[in-house]
Amino acid sequence: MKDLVAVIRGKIFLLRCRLFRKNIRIGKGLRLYKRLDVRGEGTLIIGDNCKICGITGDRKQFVTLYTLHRDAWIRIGNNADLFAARLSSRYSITVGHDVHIEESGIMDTDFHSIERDRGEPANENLQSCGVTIGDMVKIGARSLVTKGVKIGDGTLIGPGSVVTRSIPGSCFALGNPARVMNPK
Amino acid sequence: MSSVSKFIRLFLASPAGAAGLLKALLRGTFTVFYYRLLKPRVRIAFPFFMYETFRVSGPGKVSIGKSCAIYPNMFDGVSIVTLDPNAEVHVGVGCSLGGVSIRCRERIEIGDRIMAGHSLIQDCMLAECPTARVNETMPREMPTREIRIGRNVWVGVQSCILYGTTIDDDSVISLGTVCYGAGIGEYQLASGNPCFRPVPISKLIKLQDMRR
Repeated sequence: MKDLVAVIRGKIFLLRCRLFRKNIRIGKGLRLYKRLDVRGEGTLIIGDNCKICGITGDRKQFVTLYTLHRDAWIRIGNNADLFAARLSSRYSITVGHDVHIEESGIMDTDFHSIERDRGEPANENLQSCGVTIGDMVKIGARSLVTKGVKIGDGTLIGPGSVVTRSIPGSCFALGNPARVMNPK
Repeated sequence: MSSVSKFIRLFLASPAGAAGLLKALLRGTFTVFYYRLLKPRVRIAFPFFMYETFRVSGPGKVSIGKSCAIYPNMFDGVSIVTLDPNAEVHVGVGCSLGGVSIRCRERIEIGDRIMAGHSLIQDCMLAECPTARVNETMPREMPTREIRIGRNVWVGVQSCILYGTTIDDDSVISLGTVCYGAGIGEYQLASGNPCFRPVPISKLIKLQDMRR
């Protein structure tokens, strides 16, 4: 029953996007178990068979996909499972296929500069700040991915970690800043 | 009789506080009867004070000792989720929980008289995928191991207690700590993300005395 409702909600969302919001492109088979909040003028591309949920036991959290600029884009591959993930993009966020993101935030900008006027952050551009997340990456609850990070294919990020540097593929990382560790 | 006299003293000191306590007790009593009637696998002992929302979901067993209290913390109540039919959560007597979210797949044991802020207690790596396989180097199933927390432990705000952690009596988990597979002994202070070396609190108190 829940699955059927999710499929119908996804179809309605797809129809709304096609009619009113030309900047959103979503593939087939979207399932919406909870509210999906999309804001901003940038482009958003989602692949086929995506599943969008809240986290179990928490009624307040939902998936947010924000683009903060006209040129910003978020690209999510096929078969992605997003559980209360919060993505906010100023330049570009690329997420691969078969990812699993759980109650965590991904952002590719600092939002403000460290100077006193708190204006636009300096020295940020598309090359240095874009976030790339590979295929089959799994990100645990309450973790953060900051700007300019590349995560390789098949990596697992543990819960509660803050990723500030790039992490190679097929390993396990945990901590603040996230370091490669042996899984116990 | 002593509890009644305590309540009268509280009422004389601050009537609003006494009213809040009564309201929390009423809310707690309703919750206890709700779970007794509809979800018999959740057992809550009777004096249960609910200042904030309390939710239990999932197919596993949950038992909560008597005179536990649930306080608001970070605008959020307590949520206990059991992700497996064999999962068991035991909470001891006289705990004060604020905004804790517990996600259990195997077994979580929490001792008596715990203080906990807005934190996450999770005995598996990823709460939502049961048999995830990242690649060949990773174990086939996501590791789950039981969590054991002793008596009189203070768990700080925004800390995560992950699988395989054992915390002994009278310890303190400071804020923002991520305990990942660490064994924290008796009367120790754990801090850091991830937490590596817990410090004995008696040593810290000695250091403070020396500074004076």
